[in-house]
Amino acid sequence: MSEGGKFEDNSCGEVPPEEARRQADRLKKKISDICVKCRTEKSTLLFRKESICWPCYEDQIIRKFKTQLNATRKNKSQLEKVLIAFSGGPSSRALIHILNECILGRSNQASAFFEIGGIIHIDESGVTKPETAEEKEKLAQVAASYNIPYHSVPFGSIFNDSENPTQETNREKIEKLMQGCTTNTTREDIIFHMRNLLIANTARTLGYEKVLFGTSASRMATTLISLVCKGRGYNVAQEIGNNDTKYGDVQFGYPMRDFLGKEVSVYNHHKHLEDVFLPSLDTKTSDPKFSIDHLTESFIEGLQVDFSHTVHTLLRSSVKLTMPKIDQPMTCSICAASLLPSTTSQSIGGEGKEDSCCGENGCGGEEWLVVVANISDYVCGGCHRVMNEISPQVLPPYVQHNADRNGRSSRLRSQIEDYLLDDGE
Amino acid sequence: MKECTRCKTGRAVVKRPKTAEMMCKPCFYHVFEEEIHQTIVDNKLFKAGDRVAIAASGGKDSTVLAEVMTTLNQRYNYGLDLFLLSVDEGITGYRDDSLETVKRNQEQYKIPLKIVSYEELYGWTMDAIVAKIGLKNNCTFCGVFRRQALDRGAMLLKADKIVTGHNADDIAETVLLNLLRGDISRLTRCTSITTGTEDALPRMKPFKYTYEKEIVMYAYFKKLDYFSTECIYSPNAYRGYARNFLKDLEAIRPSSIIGENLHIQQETLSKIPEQGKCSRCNYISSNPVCKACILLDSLNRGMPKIEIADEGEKVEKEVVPTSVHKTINF
Repeated sequence: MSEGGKFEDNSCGEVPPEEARRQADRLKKKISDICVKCRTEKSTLLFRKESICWPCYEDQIIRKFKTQLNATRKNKSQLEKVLIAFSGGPSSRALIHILNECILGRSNQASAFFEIGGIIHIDESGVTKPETAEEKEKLAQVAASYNIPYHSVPFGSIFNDSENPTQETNREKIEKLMQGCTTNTTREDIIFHMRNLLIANTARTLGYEKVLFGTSASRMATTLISLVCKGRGYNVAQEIGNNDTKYGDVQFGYPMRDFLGKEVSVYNHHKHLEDVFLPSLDTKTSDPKFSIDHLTESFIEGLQVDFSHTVHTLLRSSVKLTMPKIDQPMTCSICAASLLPSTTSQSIGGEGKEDSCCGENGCGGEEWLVVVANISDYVCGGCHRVMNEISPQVLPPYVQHNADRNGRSSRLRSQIEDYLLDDGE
Repeated sequence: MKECTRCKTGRAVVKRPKTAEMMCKPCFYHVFEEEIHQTIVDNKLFKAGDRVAIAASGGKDSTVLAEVMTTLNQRYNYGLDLFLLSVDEGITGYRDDSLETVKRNQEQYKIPLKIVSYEELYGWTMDAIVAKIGLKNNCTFCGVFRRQALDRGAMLLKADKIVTGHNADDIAETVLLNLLRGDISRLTRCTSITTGTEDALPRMKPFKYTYEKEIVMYAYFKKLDYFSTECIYSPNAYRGYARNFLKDLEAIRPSSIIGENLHIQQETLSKIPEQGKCSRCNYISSNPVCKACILLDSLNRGMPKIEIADEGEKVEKEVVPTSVHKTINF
């Protein structure tokens, strides 16, 4: 972002001439010295092709934020106590500030409906290099500056297992988990899902029904494409939809979903909101093919430069995708996505109809053959691909527990199957 | 020497892009053909006695399609009446050359060939259209016209079905593009193995689960006669982005390409638009007048620039003549 915070999207190459002409016209007309909103202040920013002043920019941000925030509400009459997921990044940093501002004064509505209960951060030390004391302090400081309780949860607690405690530390288990994956795609994929699971579980334990994420529009669009590429197309709605039901009683909301990454940056820059930079797996890579997520991110970024409508079009697409109604209680043992009847054992666990799926390469070794069969039978399509790229023994114990539970319920179901009336009706 | 993982005797010469198995030539041919047979059987694409038009452009996909369809038809006694159907867009230096390939295929596979041309159907060749409107959006015309031309050709031949050489890569690409364009209605349709079952002629994609790379390998090893030149009227830039992305994606995880993961979306979509018929040419269309008629009308009236805006309802309002509104009122 340039110093003045002025930015604009490049014009589009491939839009039909009609559209391009209209856009050019619009651009030509709208760039004025005076803010087009208030018509009094000097304009300093270009926001979605309108030149506006900072107060109006802020106003726009808050307004769009509130619309999205409202869309996350399930129970329209009750006060909702929310947990904010804070990664340290700019977008979740802005979320804390904006939500706090909405509640504290700018909006009576927001304060009547929402209450910030706490901030949760997943400490991914071990996945990447450990968080330094300074970083920890900075993160906690952000929460403290708003007087909000702060919970830092180590990623390793995904391995907590009350039934069978082991000698190994969680840090060692994370390392094994990372080494057990054969591809970066799988590493990123399981971190993403386990992180969300951990957030959902912690929220539940702390008594929250809603977690708000700072995911920006750019990130949402990237996630949509990468989910589809990773074979998770059918649960797009569950992963990035607003009223998802993936984690049962804990709902995830994405009130920042309307903002491009750079719009957030402009906001943070003006408000002097400092984010805490924490490296992720792909931070240092120079390989464009590091992983599917990494590749997708640069693909969308590149498109967005040439075709400025890319991200928002993708978001419009994503809103129209819904989960099919399924009368089946089973969820994926790894990522908790609903299992479609066609993604469970019958079609992917046994003799695969596509020999592409069940890669023999890499998975030999009889000692864990039993485990493989078991878990693989009760995972979703996307996680089935994960299973091909991971040694199952490094997975956290909850996966096995889930698979066992799924196994029991499907055995029970098969016993009474003849007496069940057609489901789905 | 590397041994074939399947027959354990032959010398492995290919590593299958789909499964990374090392295979000898005969085994590769066998699994390649068998997978397509399996797709045909599983999806009940044909029944005995069907007259099936193979959409033939002379390119690798359709040449392999012609080869595999004739082979499987004999091997498994499908009882299909096969013929080749080509569309002549009227592009000098491109289509005329590739049609020569199709004509050789006709002799090689001993199945009849029918060529329908834009010129006889619409009174315009692509050369003439490009001369008139230039190189921007010419692909819109071509795409819209080709879709219809195939159907019309197939109807002339009294075909029951059309098979096209769309492979897994093509379908993945289309899914991606439809997502990027926000075209949900096309997204619902583009992944199904058969389309147009109700009104138009059903179209089948037996290569839905076949990787493009394997098709190229098959054509290469079998030394099939095919034509491989990009259309001279500039390939679509946007599509190029998507294609490069998918190539990289395949390098990261080959199984990403397969349609399987994507096709489930079809069921997840809440809104499926109605399809009706064009009031002028009776061809299947989501709008009162089909795109081909609109485009053609504009060409003939010499004002093509107005309506290429595409995808918009505005388009209809501007270009669709008043008679259409009357039809709705009556």
